Amino acid sequence: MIGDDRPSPGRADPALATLHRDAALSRVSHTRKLVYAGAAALTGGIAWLAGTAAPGRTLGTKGTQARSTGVTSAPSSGSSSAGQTLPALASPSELGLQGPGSAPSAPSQAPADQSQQSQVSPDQSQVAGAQSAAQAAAPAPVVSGGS
Amino acid sequence: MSSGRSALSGSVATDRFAAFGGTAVIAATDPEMLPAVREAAERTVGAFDRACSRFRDDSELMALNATPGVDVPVSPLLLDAVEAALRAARLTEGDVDPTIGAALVALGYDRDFAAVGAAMAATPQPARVAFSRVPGWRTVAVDRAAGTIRLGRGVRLDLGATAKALAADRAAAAAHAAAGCGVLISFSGDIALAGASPAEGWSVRVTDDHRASVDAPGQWITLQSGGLASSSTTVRRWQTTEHDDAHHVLDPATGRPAAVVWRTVSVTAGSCLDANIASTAAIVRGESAPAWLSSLGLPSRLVALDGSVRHIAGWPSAGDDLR
Repeated sequence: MIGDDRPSPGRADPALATLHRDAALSRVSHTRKLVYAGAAALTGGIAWLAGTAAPGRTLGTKGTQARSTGVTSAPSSGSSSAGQTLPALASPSELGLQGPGSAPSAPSQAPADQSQQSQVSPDQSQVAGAQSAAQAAAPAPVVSGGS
Repeated sequence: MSSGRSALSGSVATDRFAAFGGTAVIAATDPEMLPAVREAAERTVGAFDRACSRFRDDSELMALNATPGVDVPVSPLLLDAVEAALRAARLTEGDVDPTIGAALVALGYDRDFAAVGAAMAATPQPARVAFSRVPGWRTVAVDRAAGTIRLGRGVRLDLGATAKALAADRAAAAAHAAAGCGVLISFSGDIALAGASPAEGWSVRVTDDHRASVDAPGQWITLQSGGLASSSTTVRRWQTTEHDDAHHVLDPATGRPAAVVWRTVSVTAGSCLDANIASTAAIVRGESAPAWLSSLGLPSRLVALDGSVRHIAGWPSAGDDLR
């Protein structure tokens, strides 16, 4: 019918549809803001929790400590900040077994008189006055072996 | 340790006393200072015994072993000794491991060794021993800042492989500081030097057993500095049902006495502690020990079960009774 302004059955009112769309978009926008705010709050909370539980620690630091010192750190039962600092640099003695300043050598001749001295009883071997002169005649009789 | 200058005359005085279940031999290049050397050595022995003994009910180590799973405050000395043991484990990839305490106890080595043999003889049927890999050194947590040590459940420490050698190093340093002369400290054959050595060096007889006379098969050597340690499977042996002839050097990987490839290994190093770590690990490592010691540049003497001997990394071969 020509000139009939009434909407045909089954077609939505354009104005009403616009209102519905705007309302839905507003809800989406609001929800998005809530999600952003929640995510930010959650991130902050987790960061605070991690910072409180293990201050100064990162996974990288922990791994480096285990490799560089080999000494396992104590579980973080306490909150001592001193115990959480980075490990000290390894000292030379930490780097490996250290060789002697000089290799042992064979004596030019076997210290034959040491066998006699080694039999001296402990009380006899005490150095006192003139006795020390006699004892000082030979190097110490020392035996290294299994113990 | 000093640089070990050989600037003194040959005057050397010696003394002996009981220490760590064995004998301590001390020597000084200045005979007048021998009492000061002995005092420093005895003080060190006493401190280590109170801190590290596995055979004293009142030692710190016993208290620590009895309290696993918690952070236990300990003295700086025990802290040092445990850290030295952990360093030994790290440097030997676990071949020298302080967590062998429970395995040693299971084998019957739960008291001073002098009493172990008597206890075994008095037990007609020793209990069957269940061997297993030791817990491992990573179960020990040291917090130096807090001054605490925490052991894992079931972990018992034995510091025998390293504490005596560390004590020798500490005693030598303390004695040298007190006496001002060259000193030699030997705790049952674990030898540490400090100060200027005698002009001809410190003369030492190397053999299987530190209690042997100097006539026993072995070799004379002279040392200028550092330390010397010997580990042997010929000493501290006892009877068990599982092992007719067990010895005290355990393989941490199995909890059993290490398979005997070398009956005695002697090593010189920058300190007695490092020498002891290397000699003990060499016993455990067996066939691969010569290559390992050579790669480290540690002069060493290894005596095989059949008596044949190898000299590694500059250890002299001259004058050795064994071939």
